Amino acid sequence: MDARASSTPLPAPAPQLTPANTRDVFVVEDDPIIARLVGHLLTRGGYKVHHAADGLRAQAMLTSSPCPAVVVMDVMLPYVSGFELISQIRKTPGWERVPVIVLTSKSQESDILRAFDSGVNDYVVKPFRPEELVARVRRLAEGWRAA
Amino acid sequence: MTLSFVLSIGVAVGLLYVAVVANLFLVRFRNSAHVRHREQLEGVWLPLLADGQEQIPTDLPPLRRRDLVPFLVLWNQLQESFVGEAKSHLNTVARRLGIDRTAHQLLQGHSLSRRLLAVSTLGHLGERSVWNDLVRMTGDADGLLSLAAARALTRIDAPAAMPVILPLVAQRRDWSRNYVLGMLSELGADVVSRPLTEAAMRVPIEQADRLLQYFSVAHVSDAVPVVRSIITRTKNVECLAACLRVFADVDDLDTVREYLYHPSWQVRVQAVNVLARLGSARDFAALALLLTDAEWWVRYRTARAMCALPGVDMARIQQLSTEHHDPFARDMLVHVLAEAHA
Amino acid sequence: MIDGSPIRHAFEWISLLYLLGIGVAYLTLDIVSFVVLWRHRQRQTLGRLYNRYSNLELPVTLIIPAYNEEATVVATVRSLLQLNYARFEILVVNDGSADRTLDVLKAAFDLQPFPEVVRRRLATSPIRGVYRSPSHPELKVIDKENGGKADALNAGINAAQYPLFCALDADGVLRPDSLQFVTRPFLDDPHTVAAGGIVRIANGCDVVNGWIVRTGLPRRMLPLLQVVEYCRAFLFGRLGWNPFNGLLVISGAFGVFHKETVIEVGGYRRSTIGEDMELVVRLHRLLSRQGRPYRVVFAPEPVCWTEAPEKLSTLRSQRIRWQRGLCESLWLNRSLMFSRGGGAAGWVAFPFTVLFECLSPIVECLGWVYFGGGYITGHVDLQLALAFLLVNVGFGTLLSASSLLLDEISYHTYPRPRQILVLLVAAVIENLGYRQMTAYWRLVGLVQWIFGARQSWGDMKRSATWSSTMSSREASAVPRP
Repeated sequence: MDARASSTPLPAPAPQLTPANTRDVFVVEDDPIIARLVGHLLTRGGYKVHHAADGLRAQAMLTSSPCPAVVVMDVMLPYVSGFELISQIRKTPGWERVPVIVLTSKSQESDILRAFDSGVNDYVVKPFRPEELVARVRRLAEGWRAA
Repeated sequence: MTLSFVLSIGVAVGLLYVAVVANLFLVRFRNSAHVRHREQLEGVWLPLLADGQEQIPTDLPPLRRRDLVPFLVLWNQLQESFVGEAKSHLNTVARRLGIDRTAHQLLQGHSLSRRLLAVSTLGHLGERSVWNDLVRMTGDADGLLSLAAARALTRIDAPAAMPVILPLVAQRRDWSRNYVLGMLSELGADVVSRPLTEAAMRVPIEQADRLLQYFSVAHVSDAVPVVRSIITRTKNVECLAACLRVFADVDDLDTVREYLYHPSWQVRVQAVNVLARLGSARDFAALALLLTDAEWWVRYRTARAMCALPGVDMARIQQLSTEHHDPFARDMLVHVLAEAHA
Repeated sequence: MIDGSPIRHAFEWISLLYLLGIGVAYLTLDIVSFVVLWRHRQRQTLGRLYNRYSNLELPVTLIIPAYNEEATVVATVRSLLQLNYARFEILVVNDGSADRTLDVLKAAFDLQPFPEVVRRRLATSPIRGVYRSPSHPELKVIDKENGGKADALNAGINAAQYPLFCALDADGVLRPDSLQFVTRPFLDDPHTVAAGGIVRIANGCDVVNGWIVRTGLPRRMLPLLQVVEYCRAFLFGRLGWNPFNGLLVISGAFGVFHKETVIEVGGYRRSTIGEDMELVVRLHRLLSRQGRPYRVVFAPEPVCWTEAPEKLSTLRSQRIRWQRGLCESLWLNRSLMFSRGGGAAGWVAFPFTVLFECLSPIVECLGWVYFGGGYITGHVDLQLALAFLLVNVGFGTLLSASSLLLDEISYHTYPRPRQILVLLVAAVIENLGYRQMTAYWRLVGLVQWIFGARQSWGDMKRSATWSSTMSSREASAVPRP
């Protein structure tokens, strides 16, 4: 798998950050309640949330939208699996270094390792603490902007 | 048969057809109304339920009768999604709305879905007042309802729930193994370990295997002494296999080695697996004999165990894979070596 | 009146009563289905909550037998790799394809030969090799000599590593969550040995990357009528048997089985045309004879979409084949009927199927000739002809419409009101012409089975590749509903 290579620092061009997208967050989540919940938590935290309910729509967003500040995603997604999506994100120009947080009910060690191996920045297991998720998003969004 | 008789039956069938079609549109209309209602309700309540700790507004919106079921579904879904303080916040809001009293009423109702919702809600709320009702419900003929009641009991008071639930785990064959495992894992070893291992000693030996299969949740220090005792008393294949799975101590290796040649392959496989975890180079020869086992799984696990033994030279296995007298053993070694490289 | 009128009279009464019996029997199943669905939905409220955050799903091996599938197999595997399910492996069994099926797989997934020792627990044609993909550890391809679909499935069972296996058609379109639905019965009841789900018609739907992204109705009449037909077949033809453990058919397009039990009963039978149905009936026969508690379950969820034949000739050979498969499956397992301990499967579902599915084409076709022809030539009076029309067409239309109602209550598959209107019209047309046509084909199938069964037995064994009885690949892949 070439995913491991993409988790090492890449000599990629600096991501094109414009003020417009530093507070954009992509949420890829198929459960409507969780999607709504995460959307609400992040909106309240001052982010602009774009939601994709399945892997195909997420792929479409990859090509049509500017890179957001953070991606929050499940790994169990309809149509395109989360791992597949992560590797596509890492191959999309401008998205190589976007911080990705996985929010999933898959809690086995092997799943977590596989996610980090494929270049995920953070891993939150459902059930989760809502405030903690927002804090993790904030840390990654700001950390990246500072870098 | 007269014409009028035939015609009147025809009219009846025609009317039924019209009724079905009318119903079809009625159902469609009602469904979309339900979806709209649910979405509107979520729009109002999700922020209030999710916005936790800081402040709960003093004037919560009213909860109408028709809001009750979709609200409870949402509330329970959020309970399942959260850990920590957010859960107690959900409880605070629910009590302010009088959900605890409403759930009491639903619990006594006839509708299964409402009873299930009530059981789950009362569990999350930690309502001790329904303890006896829930204990009674764990004996219900409906597997789902009884499991839901068991889970609610563990949420209200896990240590007190253990003596109620564990005998049922041993007896009820309709309780799905995976649900029970999920429930016990959620409670964690600190709560489950002692009661589970002690219960395994107490139940009739024929039922012990049904508890042994959850020993992965228990602390090894509690599990191993129990297993040492049970393994001497049972001939049941599943029970023996479950016992072997638990061993985690080199002191027990001599016991384990006795089962390498047990007549049942399910037992042999487990014994081999223990050697793969705990064995030493001196087990190599004994394992090599099992490479000719009649059962595929035993040969497969044996080959893997041989590769896993500490201090074993892979070249020795390579050599064996070309020189072993038994073609089945050679095939298996080649297979496992390839897997190791994949 | 001509002589022999007592015989005529008896025929009239028997056939009318028989057809009325069919109508009433299906109406009963229909009502049972309403109750089952209602109860299912009651349990779902919480069932969903329970499954959410626990890694409870049972691991499943997907077996995809492929014979000359070079055009579709890669796309199928690609979409299956994206299934929304915790733990599964995909086993493609290349059944000695004459085309480049294996080559395209090798190229697409960078397959490497793997020296795996496949257990021969069920006898199959020789296996030539096993391949694995370094980039997709969950994919395995087995290359074997041609032996037919059942043989390929058996080879897949031999190589499967998980306790459940799912038999799939190479061109079936699944839902991302199909496996979650169909494995739930195994979680809920440890005695479950087999489970199937609802199969629907994919014609007219929008398919992207092997997934249905929007449901639609076929434009052409023939597949449209099959949409109604499938609705009826699945929503109460199957669901109604659930509470009695009397389900005799699980569609070959998508069924999940407990591997060890299937191996115990001998796997798929190689010398039959309806291997999917035969296996399920045999499970009933052998397990009930042993007095073991077991369940064959229909999960009332849509799980699989399949391409329906758009050509009459393809549909014709499909239906002839189904009818032969049905008769053969029942015949081979006839000792299930009225057997001690046979339960609802042996005492109700089996005789029901023999009486109302195997033999019904005879009565239906004779009825149309006698009552229709008789009315035109003046030998049968109006009320008799009307009575026949009523029990045959009237009940049928009522049942078709009520299956649409069931679908609306439960799944709401076709969201636009116009689609419902189209389906309601189709439900009427289906009973005026289409059903009579299929009844005739089923009669042909029945006759072929009766006269051909023993003679061609040897031939059939040899030519039991899955496309042998079919005129095109399209038809061979379409399962019995």
